[in-house]
Amino acid sequence: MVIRMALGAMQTTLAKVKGLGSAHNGTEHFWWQRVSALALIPLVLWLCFSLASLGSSDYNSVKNWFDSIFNAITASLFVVVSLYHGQLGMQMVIEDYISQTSHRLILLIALKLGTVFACCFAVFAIIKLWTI
Amino acid sequence: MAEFRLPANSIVKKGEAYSDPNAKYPRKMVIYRYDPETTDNPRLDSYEIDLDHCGPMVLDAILMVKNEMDSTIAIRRSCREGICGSCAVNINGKNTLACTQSIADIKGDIEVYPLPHQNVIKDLVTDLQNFYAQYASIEPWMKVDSALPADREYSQSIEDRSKLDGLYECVLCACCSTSCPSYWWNSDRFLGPAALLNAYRWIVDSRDEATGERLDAIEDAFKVYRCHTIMNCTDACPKGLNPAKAIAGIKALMVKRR
Amino acid sequence: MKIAGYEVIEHEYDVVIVGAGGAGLRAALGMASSGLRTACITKVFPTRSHTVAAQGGMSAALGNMGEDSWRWHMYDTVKGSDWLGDQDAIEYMCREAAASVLELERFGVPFSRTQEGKIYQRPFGGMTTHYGKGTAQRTCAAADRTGHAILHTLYQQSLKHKAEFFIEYFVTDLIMDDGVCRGVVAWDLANGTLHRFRAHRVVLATGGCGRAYFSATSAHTCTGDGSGMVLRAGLPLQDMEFVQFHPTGIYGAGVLITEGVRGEGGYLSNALGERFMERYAPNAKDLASRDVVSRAMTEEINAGRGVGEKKDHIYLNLMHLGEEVIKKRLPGIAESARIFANVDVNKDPIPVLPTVHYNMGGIPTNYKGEVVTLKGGNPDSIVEGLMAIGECACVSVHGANRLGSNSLLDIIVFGRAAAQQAAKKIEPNTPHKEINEALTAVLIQRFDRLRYANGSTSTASIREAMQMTMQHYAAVFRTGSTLAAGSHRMQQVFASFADVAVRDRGMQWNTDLLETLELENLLAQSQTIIAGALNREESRGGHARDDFPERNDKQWMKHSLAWLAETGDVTMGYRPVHMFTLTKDCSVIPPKKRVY
Repeated sequence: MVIRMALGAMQTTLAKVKGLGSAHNGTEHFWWQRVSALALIPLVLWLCFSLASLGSSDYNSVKNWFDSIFNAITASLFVVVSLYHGQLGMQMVIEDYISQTSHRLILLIALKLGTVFACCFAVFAIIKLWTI
Repeated sequence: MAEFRLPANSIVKKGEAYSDPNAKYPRKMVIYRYDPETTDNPRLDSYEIDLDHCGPMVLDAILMVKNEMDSTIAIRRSCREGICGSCAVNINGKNTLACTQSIADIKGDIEVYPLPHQNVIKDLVTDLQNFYAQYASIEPWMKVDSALPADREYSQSIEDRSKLDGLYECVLCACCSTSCPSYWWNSDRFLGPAALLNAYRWIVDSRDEATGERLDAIEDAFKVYRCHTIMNCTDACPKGLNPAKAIAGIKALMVKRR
Repeated sequence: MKIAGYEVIEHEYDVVIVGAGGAGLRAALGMASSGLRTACITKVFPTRSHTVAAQGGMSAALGNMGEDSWRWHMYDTVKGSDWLGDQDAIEYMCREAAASVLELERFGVPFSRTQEGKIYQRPFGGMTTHYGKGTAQRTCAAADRTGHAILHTLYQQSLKHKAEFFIEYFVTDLIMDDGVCRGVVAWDLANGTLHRFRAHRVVLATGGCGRAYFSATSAHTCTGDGSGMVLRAGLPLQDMEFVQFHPTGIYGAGVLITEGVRGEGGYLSNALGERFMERYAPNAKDLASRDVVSRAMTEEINAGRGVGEKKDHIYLNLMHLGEEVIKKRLPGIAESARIFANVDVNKDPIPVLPTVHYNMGGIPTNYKGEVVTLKGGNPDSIVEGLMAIGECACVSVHGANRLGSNSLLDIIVFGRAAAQQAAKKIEPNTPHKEINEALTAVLIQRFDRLRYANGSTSTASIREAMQMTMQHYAAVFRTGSTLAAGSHRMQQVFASFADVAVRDRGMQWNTDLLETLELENLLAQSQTIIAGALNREESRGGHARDDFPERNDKQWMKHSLAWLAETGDVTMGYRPVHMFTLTKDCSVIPPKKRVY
């Protein structure tokens, strides 16, 4: 083989590089990270506009604002999409910087569960606002 | 965790200083030194070179120091015209070929280090086994299953051939890969810009019949998708190639075939 | 195993190839795939070998761009060699050319293309149709990076075929046992260990010794190590006086500018702006053979018509070709000119000068790659166990002058021929004979002596003295008196090696010692070059004597052989030129006056 073994190594460098082979993943992540980023453009614009228009409104007017189905759904969408997008980004960061497999795994699971929890919590809060 | 600090035995100490009292146009050059046959830490030796009788490139200066002041410096060099890819080092913070880096383009002292984040064998010579193995792992050779007549070439249009321009010129100097932060943190799993550029060179070769197989082999969150378009690779390439664009090409094909 | 105080790691192979340039890699491929246990030992990573710097292309009469025939190619090569080439070997090379290029294309070499999707071919110096009447487009090109494309492709193929490499190992010497080569001693730079490789055949593919000169297009690593080993083994080198000066090395830097520039329509001009090649070669003009162009340029400069402040160089013009052609066909040249001459080739000419480029001479071999010597009156006596291919060999297909684009062809054709011959002669896994340890011990003692060399002259200063001497005394034009003075001076430089100083005593990546070992090889070859030049009293191809301006076929149509004694004394001998062909498909091309 052209690639010789590293000094004192018991395994060839090529064996290490090939490792467990390709997991055939990553493209979905890449794709949805971009799609969610695109989706966030109108959602963020809408959010900014809404926050500006609500300005210094009191509790009741904000609650009334959430009574609109459109506003409630769009707010839910914003929360879900931004959390999803953030989760994809955080996954990248964890994969980049945490090299120990066990730590990486624990953090990734925590991230996913945490995101699902945060999503449920936020959407439930919006629904609750709508019903009271 | 990614390592941000050097281990104790790799911390660079101050080394010797060589001066040239007769220099007409003196210029200070600092070179990273490490001798594997001692237990000493790496050190930075400084040399006062005379630009009056030195060639225009940093490699000329290194070789002048080696010829006239300190013959023990180890560096790989061969063609001295930027085509063999041997003399890739880090000069004033940028990975490049010493033979095509003009001294005149450097402000202040000339600082020469080995390629970053690689194991140093001696002085400016690093261990590139992993880099070469990554290149081998993408199976950079023609794969054709069709039985075509042996007495003539595979046909290729001028347009198809031009898709290889900007890809086949890679000299495997490792400037790009070793400048990539993603590669620093994950070079055990991320193939790095050089190997990916070469993978793309075969993916887009119209004569090759293994395009899908090639995409399969590298479609992986680590092998390809550690590339975060930081663009250090493109910035570093001494041949003016654009590995980041090649990787984007790979990603685009992967999305296209979803 | 402990020999001469060093732990030596033993390896056994059927074949060992020294060098991984184009020739070495092609041979390694062929031998590995024919079932022979093959090791390829190389002092640089394969893609760093100097084949990578070849630009213009590889000749083969494919006829993709107009009619062509291998017989015309053969005629051109014989004429180019100034009738010093062996015509059987030239026939073999030109016949095999087309198949060799097609094989490379199938390996994946990204050749430039014609409209029909075929391999693009460009005109090159000395390449004609109809036996000198027309201009041939015979040089297959991958833009102006053909060597790079071929070398990388061959390395890729050796990865595919799982050839076994020992990379960054420096071979110090051949193990010779009573005139038979039994293996080599090598030094692993990375971990500093010594190795003995035993082999039924050792194939030298170590390239030329351009670095014997001060200004060369050659890489720093072109130190002709194989030829140095051969001389130390008591074998001769052949035709070493024939050193090719490439007409267009960048003035100052010495970096190569391909002849392909002139093939694409570029031309040379002097201080008067005159296209002077029209005077020297009315038909071929700028596409005359390299020796002719280099001499013409030197004559122009000597006549005071050089360009620049010191009137000491010539301009190469390609501004008129247009940006599109330059971008498509000569991108590497544009880059080199910008970096090394600070010239934008779209606007200004490139300053150039004839620069040492290629050794036509080398280790004498037959067309199968087997090393031959003159022994007991037999000029074709085979040296058992030893083969040589590529620039380090003298087959001789280039004779007194090599045509551009014939060297990439040479390395591929004879790399393959050597592989075929080895496969024919060696039964895989044949056991090795007993070997006397003393044979290896001597070689390791030499290594050890240089490692601890405690003299007062640095390797670099001896090397500089050698390069200056060779540059000054064995240049484009030579005369008896300067050659005699040069020979005397070279002898002094050679002797000064006894006083060499090596400062680095380490074993890992000790480049101080490495350069010293290389220097000894260079010194040996320099001695044979200058002695051969002094000895050959005629002008032929790359060897032009002011005092003997004509070719003298009666006395000198023969190969010269040079043996080197440890003292530096050179003994000359001769081998006849092969004035016969291999088959009846072509006839011998009789000598005539060489006009372009």
